[in-house]
Amino acid sequence: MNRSLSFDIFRYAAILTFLAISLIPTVWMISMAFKPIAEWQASGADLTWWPNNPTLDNFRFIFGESGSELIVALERTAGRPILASLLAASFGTLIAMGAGTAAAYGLSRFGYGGNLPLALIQLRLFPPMAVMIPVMIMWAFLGLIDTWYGLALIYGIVTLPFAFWLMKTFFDDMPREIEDAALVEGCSRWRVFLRITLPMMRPALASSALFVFILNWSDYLIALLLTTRDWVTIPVYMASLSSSMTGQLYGAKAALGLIAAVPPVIMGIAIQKQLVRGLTFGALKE
Amino acid sequence: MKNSPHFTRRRFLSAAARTTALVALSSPLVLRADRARASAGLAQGMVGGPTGFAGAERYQYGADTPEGRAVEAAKALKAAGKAPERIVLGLSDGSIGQITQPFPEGAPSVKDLWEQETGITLDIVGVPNGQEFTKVMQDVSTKGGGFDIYAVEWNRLGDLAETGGIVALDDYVATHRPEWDDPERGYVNGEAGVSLLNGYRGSVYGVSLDGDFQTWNHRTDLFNNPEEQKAFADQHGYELAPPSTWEQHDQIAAFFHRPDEGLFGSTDLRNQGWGYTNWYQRFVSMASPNQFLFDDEGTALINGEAGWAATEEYIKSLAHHSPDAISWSWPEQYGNFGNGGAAMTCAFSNLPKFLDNPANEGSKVTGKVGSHLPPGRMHDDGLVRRTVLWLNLTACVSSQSEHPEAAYLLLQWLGSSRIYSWMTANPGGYFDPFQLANFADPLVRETYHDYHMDVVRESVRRTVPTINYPGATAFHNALDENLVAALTGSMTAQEAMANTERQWKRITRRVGEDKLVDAIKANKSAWPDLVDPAAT
Repeated sequence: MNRSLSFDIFRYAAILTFLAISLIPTVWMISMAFKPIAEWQASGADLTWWPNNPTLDNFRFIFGESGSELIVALERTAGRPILASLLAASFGTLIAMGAGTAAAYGLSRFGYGGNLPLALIQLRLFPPMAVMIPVMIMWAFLGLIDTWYGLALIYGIVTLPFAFWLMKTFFDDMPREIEDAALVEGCSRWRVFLRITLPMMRPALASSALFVFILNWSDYLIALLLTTRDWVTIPVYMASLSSSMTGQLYGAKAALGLIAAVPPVIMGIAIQKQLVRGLTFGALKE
Repeated sequence: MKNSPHFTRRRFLSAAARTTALVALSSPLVLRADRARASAGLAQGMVGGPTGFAGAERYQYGADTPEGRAVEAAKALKAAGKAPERIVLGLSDGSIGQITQPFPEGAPSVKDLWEQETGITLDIVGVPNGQEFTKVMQDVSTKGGGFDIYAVEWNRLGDLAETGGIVALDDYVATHRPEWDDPERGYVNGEAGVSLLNGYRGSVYGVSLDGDFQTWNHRTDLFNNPEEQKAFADQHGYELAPPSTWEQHDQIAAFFHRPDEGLFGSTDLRNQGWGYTNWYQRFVSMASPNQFLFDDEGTALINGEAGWAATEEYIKSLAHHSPDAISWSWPEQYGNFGNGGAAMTCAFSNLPKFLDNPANEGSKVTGKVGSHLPPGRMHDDGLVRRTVLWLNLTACVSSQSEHPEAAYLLLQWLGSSRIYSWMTANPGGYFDPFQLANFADPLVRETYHDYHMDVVRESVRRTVPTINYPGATAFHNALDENLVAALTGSMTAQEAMANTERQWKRITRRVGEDKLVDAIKANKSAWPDLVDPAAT
């Protein structure tokens, strides 16, 4: 066995090992989502990786159809929290990406707002809990508590630094000569931005948007504090899935977790091509 | 189309007018008929209460009862235009079912009955379990005004009262006379019990809607197994039985601790926010009749022999617990016990209601649960057994409510012995019995089991309150954090107690010693002095 083959075997073994370790929680969640209640808390010899009697009861349960053995009744089903998460995370991403991209372009190309990067990063300097009390008071005053748009707005604000810094790096790495050429040809600055720069930035936009969306999608603390009933999001709703009859509703939580994983995965697949390019954007400099 | 009806505008208007008149005329008849049907099931002399099931008359009430007065006063407010269209109640998700689900078969729900009798809609906003106080403080600090009524842990009343988040209910109590101290039906320990659960510094601020006297349970199939009994007697020289002392408890827990077989010895909680309830039980039984947390001058008594010993025991007891004990909360505890995963545990008094329940098909311990009094310690004058009151949802009226009297009336109605007995018998939620009438009620006893109800009533007599002074949250957090640190091995028992004492001194200075001493004395008056004979 030559040295190169040994190295490849070692390399793939290491990759597979790390892949297996990182996928264990996901595999366990998928398995739990299809386990009947009797298998949720199995221990010792009864503990199995895969469901012995696979069922869709957990999915039916969170959407309001009580499974045969799940005798507890939910006060609210998962439909509304899924909608709340979709609306708040999507519009929050739009706000962050819109403002972040515009600000990053302005700073990268024209040097406007010299202290803007530091000012924006201040939003992330404090732990979220430290700023949430004033935010709650402001949101209550503005009537934004327990609304999807109130949640979307705060998501847009707290993820703005990520969007800004990511996009600024991408803009800085993009050759200005292409824009200059278009300007020489008679394009207006606005047209250059829309027709030249943004299309070239598609991979960067895709990867930044996905990152920001996942941050918004997985938030618990802000949603817990700014929603009460109508617009609780998936993570907050998930925390309520327990009962005295069964303890933690592990199967229901796993089913909801599986559903919650779908949008980011779909987004990731849909923009896979752009994502790979975005992640390597600027890796090679002139 | 000769025979087709010929619709003219005139005919259409005429028909519409006739229909409208008929509906308008018939509606009161329908309403009156409904009301007549509802009242038809009432026993003679009763003015309200549930109907439609055997024994419903036990929960019906006359005009001169706390429930009757509350309903009549609410109706009067409504008639005078001084009542709201709806009252918003913030409540733990898990408790809502007892108000919204009809029980037993044929009965209305508690919510439906209130709305039918008063015409005031009850709007319940679910709060995730464990987030009750967070949500309340959110509403208080932001002036959100989202609720008329908060339901929080009983000992938060002091903090909420001091911050002006809730209103004193004394005037309403004086006017509407809830009779919580009724010697036949009211709170255990009469006026002292009322003061403990509903009061703060001499005023009424809340209405208890719970009975979280931490109660001990064991597995009868294990304790009554002859092979287990013989093996235990051979090993320890005395008969296997529910433990009377902490020493016995630890030995029995160690005996049954078989993690390879999926069985833990004892799973009373050890996590943050809960674990200290077990520490309390161990600590307060260190002296007879009680080892207090503070002396009458407000000096902490935990950093001494009693505190160190209780904490050492507490740390060692992890040995017969789940390896995940520090992160377990009650849902994990209930799930494990229902799965047959523990020999003993200490939990809310509703554990047998949910897990020793044929309707709970997932439970493996149905018919195999027993209850026993808390373990204690032998002293010269006898056996001191103590348990603790925690978490206990108490409802209070928000200072932002525009209709505090109507909100109070709902609470008087809900928290009075007839409606509360009916409500707590409902297996759909977490509210537990705590009034004398509840313990004797056949429906409650059926849901909670006879074997358990008598133990709960006796446990109440041996229950110490947790801290409910101003700063209660800070006091508990300090104790809690240091105990968790001790459990994880990052500090010794002595260090944990010394740290706690130091932090408690700082909190005392911040709160104000005079205020604190008053509250400590009031709290102490509710501590039991019952000492059992040595043999029990």
